[in-house]
Amino acid sequence: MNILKLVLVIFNLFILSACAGLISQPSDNVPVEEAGEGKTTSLIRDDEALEQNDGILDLDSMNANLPVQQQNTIQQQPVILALLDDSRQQQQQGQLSKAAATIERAIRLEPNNAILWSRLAQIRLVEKNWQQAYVLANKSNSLERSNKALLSQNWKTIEQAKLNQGDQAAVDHARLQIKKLLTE
Amino acid sequence: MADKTSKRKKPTSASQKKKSSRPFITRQLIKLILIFLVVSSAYVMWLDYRIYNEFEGRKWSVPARVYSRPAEVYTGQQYAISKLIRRLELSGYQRVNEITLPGEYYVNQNQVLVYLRSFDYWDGKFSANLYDINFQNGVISRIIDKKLETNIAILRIDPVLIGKIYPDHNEDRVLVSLVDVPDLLIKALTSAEDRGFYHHHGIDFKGILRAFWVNIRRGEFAQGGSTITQQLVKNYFLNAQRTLTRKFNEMIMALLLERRYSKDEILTAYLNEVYLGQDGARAIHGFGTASKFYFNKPIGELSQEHLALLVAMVRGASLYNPRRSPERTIARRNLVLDVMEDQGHLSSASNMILKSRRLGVTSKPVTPGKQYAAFLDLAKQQLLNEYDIDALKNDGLIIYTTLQPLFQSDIDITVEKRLQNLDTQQNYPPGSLEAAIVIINPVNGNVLGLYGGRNYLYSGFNHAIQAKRPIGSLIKPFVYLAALSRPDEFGLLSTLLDEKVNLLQDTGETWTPENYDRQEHGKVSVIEALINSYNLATVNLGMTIGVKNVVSIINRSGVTNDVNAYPSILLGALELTPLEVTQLYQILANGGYKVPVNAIQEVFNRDGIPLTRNQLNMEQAWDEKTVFLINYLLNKVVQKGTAKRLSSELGKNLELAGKTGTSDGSRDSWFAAYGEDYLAVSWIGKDDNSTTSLTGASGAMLLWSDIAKLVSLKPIRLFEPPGISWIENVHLRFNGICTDFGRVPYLDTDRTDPDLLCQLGSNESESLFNNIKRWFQQ
Repeated sequence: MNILKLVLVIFNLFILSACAGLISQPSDNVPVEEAGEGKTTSLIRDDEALEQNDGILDLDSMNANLPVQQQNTIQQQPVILALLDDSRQQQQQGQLSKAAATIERAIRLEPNNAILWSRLAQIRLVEKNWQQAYVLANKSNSLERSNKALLSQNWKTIEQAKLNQGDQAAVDHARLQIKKLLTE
Repeated sequence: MADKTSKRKKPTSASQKKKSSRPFITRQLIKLILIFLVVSSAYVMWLDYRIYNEFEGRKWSVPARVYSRPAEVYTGQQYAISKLIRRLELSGYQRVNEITLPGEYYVNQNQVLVYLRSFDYWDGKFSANLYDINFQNGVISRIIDKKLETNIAILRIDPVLIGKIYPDHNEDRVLVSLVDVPDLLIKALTSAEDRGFYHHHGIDFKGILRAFWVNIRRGEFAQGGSTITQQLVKNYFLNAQRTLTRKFNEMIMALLLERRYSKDEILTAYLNEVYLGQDGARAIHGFGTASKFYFNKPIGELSQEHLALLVAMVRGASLYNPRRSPERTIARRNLVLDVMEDQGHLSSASNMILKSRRLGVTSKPVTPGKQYAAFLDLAKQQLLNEYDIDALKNDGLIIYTTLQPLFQSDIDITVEKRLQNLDTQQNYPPGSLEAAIVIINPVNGNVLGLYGGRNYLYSGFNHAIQAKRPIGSLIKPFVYLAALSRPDEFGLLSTLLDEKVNLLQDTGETWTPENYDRQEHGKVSVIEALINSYNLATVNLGMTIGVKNVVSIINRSGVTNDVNAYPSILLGALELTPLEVTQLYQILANGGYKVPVNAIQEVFNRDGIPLTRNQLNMEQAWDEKTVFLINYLLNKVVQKGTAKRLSSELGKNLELAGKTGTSDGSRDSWFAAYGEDYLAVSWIGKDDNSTTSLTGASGAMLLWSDIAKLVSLKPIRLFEPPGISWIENVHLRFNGICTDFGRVPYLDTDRTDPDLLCQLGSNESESLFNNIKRWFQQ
């Protein structure tokens, strides 16, 4: 009798577990793992920044500034040069937020290096973050008095930022500064 | 049983009555079968539902792991070899004589060889690699990438785990996936626990017999008959009782589990679920967690005998505890190694070698120390702005902060030493004084270290971020900032009246402030008034420009919104936390540019995908020209004023900017000061808010200089923005003496009051003569 019961139970197990499986089989679009999603609100996405870049200032024109950069970087510490180089490569690969992160790393080592702030401003410009581009270029200018190439680069960044913000007076002011630097 | 006997009797009598129909016994049997069918089906459905519910909805609670920032090591950097060793040890690197694995280092005179671990940084994955770091006179002279045999400029040493944000049930896990896990672990695990794992359907009858046979042959309990699936079921759903019912349920559920899920899913769950030890109230579940707990290494870095040890512990983590019972555990580990050899996963030669090795566990678990708890408070507070508490406790977020871990340890020791000193000096019972300190890089707002109080761990009250105290004279630079923003009215060489004044408070009471020395100083320059921290001159200035304008300056910093425009705020009757004061002074130290004081750098999800990053954003809060004047003044405070003693503490040539603050009755002693890349705000006071005899200079400033000695502080660099002009050769009456101030900056128009100027030379006799004259006139 007991053996019979056991056989029946085990027989049933398979039939019923099959039915049970049919009832609540997980469908493909049920998220199995919801953990670790977090919020992504302030996630900075490189690809978006690039897509939105409609040619006002593209990567090629940023790279056209390379001679100025090289001129500025001659007397830097090797570590700063290395990081500037890394950042430039990241930018060329379209990884803007990584390029910015690398510059921020360098700023941690040399907080008052005007070239670093200038580079960061330029990256923000490509990211279309006009206000930050403007503020950071200003910050760079406040740290540098004599390097005309750098100052002029910063005023160009400010000009572009202000042009996009529709602040004509500031654009004119920036242009005047660039002119002054050229004639001095 | 009695029931069943009586049931059996009934059919006999029934069959006698109805001979023509089916035998009664058969019908009853069918009934019985039907009942069994229904009951057992329901039971199995219930079990299956439980499995589905638990397994499918299973979200392992993984605490958020909070890391310090990585150490940057680069050529040309001042970095003592001993500091590098301390830093490597903090990250759990082991000093060895011969490097074979990531996580090990070797020291030879002026050289450190280190096999850095792989690490996911924000800007990409770093692969484990060997480096040779050379030192010369305390400077890093060369870093060589040993794989490529090239010199490199900069290297990052992986961050230190500084804390975890635990789920409510205190569960801790480092999750692993099948790809993270060395093949050999799976081989060892299946060899020792379940050889038929990839073939059976949840129960392995052959395995049971084999285990029986092996155990008899070996004369010890080498193998168990339970499959991995059964063990998982047992861990998941059932209690530890060894009853037949439980065994029965276990078998059914194992079959059901196998029907629903793939072998890989089951194995992954097992790897993360299996119980492998206990750390106080914290249970160690899963191989990832155990690897950290016993070896302080990620599972991918474990060597073969380590993997065998973890597998050995599956059979009984408290019985085979490598720290408590090393001998018994080593025997068990070697047994596992033998089984692996039997199965062809190890050659007998390598088995010999592995068996001769020691266990290799760390002497005690490396768990994040309590010393980071005060900083973690701040990190958690800031994380809660973007993530909810459940996500932090359960989702296994990986959080990178701005903390410099070595610096933090040094801060704690230094502050406590100074407080003991001050207690003794003031004849207070030990532990009377409390302190807080916040240290940031003013350029990017990164919090580098933080001290929350002596009794922080005991009381949980974090003075750095919770104690709102009147800031006293720390307010003054902002009163002067408001005044100097009107360059057509005030300059550094304008005259202020340091004379008594009666002010009507909103309460109707009259307020008659006094100077600290209870004197009036008459006509003084703006320079003298701020660097000597004169109360009366400041109140008079504040009343002239309007308290509202001072409040508006504070509001523009965004630090606090509930500032009431009472005259008393001009002398710092404004209660702020050290952290808030740090934000105010950050803007000054960064030339008028505000960067939020921040402790969080980046957040990754548990799979290493970046979620958020605090990018460096600035906002111009105050005009940089006016801030330049204030920085000029605060530099003079350290050179000639209330913080003069700092120069002698730290060396005369170190140019810094700072301000002392002392509240009524010396209840609060404050000091805020900065160089190029460090800004620190320190506070000392008592928790019962009683009076002390410490001023800003004799209390908090000493603490500040102790901290400054820990870092290579760079002098403040005053960058002159366009629009600054200079008055040359300024000789100014200062403390009654004609003093050479050199060049003094101004904006727009020179507002110098000629009465304040003097001729250098016979000044001392002149002032003495004036004093005598005044005495006779009285």
